[in-house]
Amino acid sequence: MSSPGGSDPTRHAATARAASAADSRVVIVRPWTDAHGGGCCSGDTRDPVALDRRAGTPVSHHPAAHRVGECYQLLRHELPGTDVQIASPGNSAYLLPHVYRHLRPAVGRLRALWAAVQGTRAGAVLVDGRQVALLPDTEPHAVLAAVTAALRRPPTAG
Amino acid sequence: MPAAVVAAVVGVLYFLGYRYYSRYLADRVYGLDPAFVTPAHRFRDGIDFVPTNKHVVFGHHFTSVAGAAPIVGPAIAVFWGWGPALAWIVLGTIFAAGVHDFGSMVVSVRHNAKNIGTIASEVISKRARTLFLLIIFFLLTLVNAVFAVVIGNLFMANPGAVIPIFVEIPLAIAIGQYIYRTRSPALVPSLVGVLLLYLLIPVGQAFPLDITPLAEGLGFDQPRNLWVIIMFAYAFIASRLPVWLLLQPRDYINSHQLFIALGVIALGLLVGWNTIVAPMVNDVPAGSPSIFPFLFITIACGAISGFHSLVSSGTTAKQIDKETDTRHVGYLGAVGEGSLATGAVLATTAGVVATQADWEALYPDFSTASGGAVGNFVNGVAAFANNFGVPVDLAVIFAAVVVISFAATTMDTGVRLQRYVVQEISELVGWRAGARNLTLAGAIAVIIPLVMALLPGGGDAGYTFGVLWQLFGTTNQLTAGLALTVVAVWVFKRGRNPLAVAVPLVFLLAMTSWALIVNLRNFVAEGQWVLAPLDAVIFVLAMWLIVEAALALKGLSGRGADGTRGPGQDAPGTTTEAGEDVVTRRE
Repeated sequence: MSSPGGSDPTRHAATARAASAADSRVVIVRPWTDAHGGGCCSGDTRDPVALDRRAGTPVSHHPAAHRVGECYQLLRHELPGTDVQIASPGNSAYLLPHVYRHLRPAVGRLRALWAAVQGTRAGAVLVDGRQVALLPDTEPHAVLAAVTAALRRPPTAG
Repeated sequence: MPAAVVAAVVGVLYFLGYRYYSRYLADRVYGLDPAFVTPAHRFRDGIDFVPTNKHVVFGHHFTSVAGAAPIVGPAIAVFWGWGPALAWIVLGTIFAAGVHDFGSMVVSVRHNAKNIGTIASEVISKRARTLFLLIIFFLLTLVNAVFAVVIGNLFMANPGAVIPIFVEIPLAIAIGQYIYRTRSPALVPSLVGVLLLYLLIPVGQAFPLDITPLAEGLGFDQPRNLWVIIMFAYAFIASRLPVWLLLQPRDYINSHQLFIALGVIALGLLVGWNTIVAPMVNDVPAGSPSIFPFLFITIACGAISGFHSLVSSGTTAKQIDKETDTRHVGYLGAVGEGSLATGAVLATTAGVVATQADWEALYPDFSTASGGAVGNFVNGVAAFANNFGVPVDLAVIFAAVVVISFAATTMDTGVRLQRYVVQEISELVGWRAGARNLTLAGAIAVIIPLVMALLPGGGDAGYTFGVLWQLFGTTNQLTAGLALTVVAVWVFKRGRNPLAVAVPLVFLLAMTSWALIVNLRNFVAEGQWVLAPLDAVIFVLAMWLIVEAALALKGLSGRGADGTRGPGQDAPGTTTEAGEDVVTRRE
């Protein structure tokens, strides 16, 4: 397995773009501790005003975020044709319809709705709306194996 | 005129603005290139730089920019009549805020997703970074001061909101801990939090906490000032906690409240079919601030807000998948903020009272209008909620809780950010204690806005608030002016017509400077020896910005722009004439 860091960004950009024509099949929900600022004036404006990336400064990240980064890089490298998204657990405006839309044909409205609520779990790795791993507990290669297995199923299989 | 009809017309105008004007900006002004490899792809790390679906980014961006500020400004500005206020909101959103939010995002994407302050130092001059930090320092000072006063006023007017708001703090911490410890899905606990918060409203109503006797016993001339001090003490402590512990769960609760409030306004308008009772153009009393220039600094957020350039060029730019997505995220984000401001205008002109005479009693002069503006919005939203059966008393506390929650979250974030700015300025001037000691930096971040918020202001609290709000609007517009200057220079360097950016830039700088001069003259005449120097300093910053912008544009016209080079013709891997760091093409 080659290093994700050595990947060609243009290759992935093109494949990701092609994949995003359809809805994303893989979504990683950010860990709860990888938090941002509040809304309105001053909302999430850490980068423009904070000291540059020294350890312990506001723009440095919790270790859990780095695990997400490792998994993301690995998935993008090993599954170049698969669009992988990262969303905040608070972004329910995206997560709820995403999970519901994927699962409703296979499991029905009520179970899809319940699964959609479950989809807002911080650290969840979702494939077609189903949680297949939980970060940061799961090792990146185990996440890759789980995602690869889940992707082999048709998108709406029950 | 029925408010629902006005809302529908505004909605159509926003749609047209997005459909056609943002398309013009994308194609003719910014020259977006769908093949451009964005920083999210080039620096992809899965942490900050993540190519992200535009709908995901929009959710992040909109909740980062929306809040209490687009409510307060319009609620004051209807003093001049709903027509001018709404016209500035709609025209500002379409021709200024959209250009600004969208443009600063595009420029950031073309500069490795750097923030607007850093890009300013590269595109305009090295001095621009210092100018940027100083403007942000004053902006955050005034944000924290005005929101402390907003909260103080609302607590005084709605003592029933005190218990829900203060219980919300441990409630949010408990929810955050629950989500973190149990790995529970985040949605259910946060919705339970909203429910518990609203269940506390009748409790707050039954046990209102009016601190007037205590404040008077402590010798406060203005009882509200005791709340101001309590809120700053809270913000100082809260800003030292990890973001995920209190700020994130409370902001999550707020995001639900934002959609609930927008839903209440929309549903209330449709069910109640309220008519706008305020005059379209108000015949304001002699001695009031004039529409020109004060309307345009009273409504900043909601028409154009410099803060958005910080979000656009911060985390949002790092997540842009395709350059063309910036149109959806940046321009629509501005439209969302404008919609909230429109709701504020309708709540304070159609919802709050039933007749023009009653409305004129709420807005008899600028001082009263400023002091009561947020309360009027609260009562207006409560009236909309009452249209579909919610008892008025409970609805008033509900609306107050929504606004105070937004304002308190903004204060928490604002004090935290101000501490970073104090640290960075200390670093620049070589003051080690200020740069390294978080308690000291935090104390500075709290004490300066606290002094502002406690200003006696000619013996009239509403006057002070109105003036502070205008100074906040001025610095917010200066931030927008700085971002628009960067965008204009960048557009000009690319050989494209910068008029769409230059017109709002010149308009903003003219209104801002004009307002600062008028205010300075008034402050000196009235012996306001705290506000006058503050106004003078902000005026100097404005002049500095105008000189920097003029020098940057003059330098460009001397060299001449390359009008023949399109965005797809820059050599890969080079620094371009437009100052872009790396240009690599897809495919």
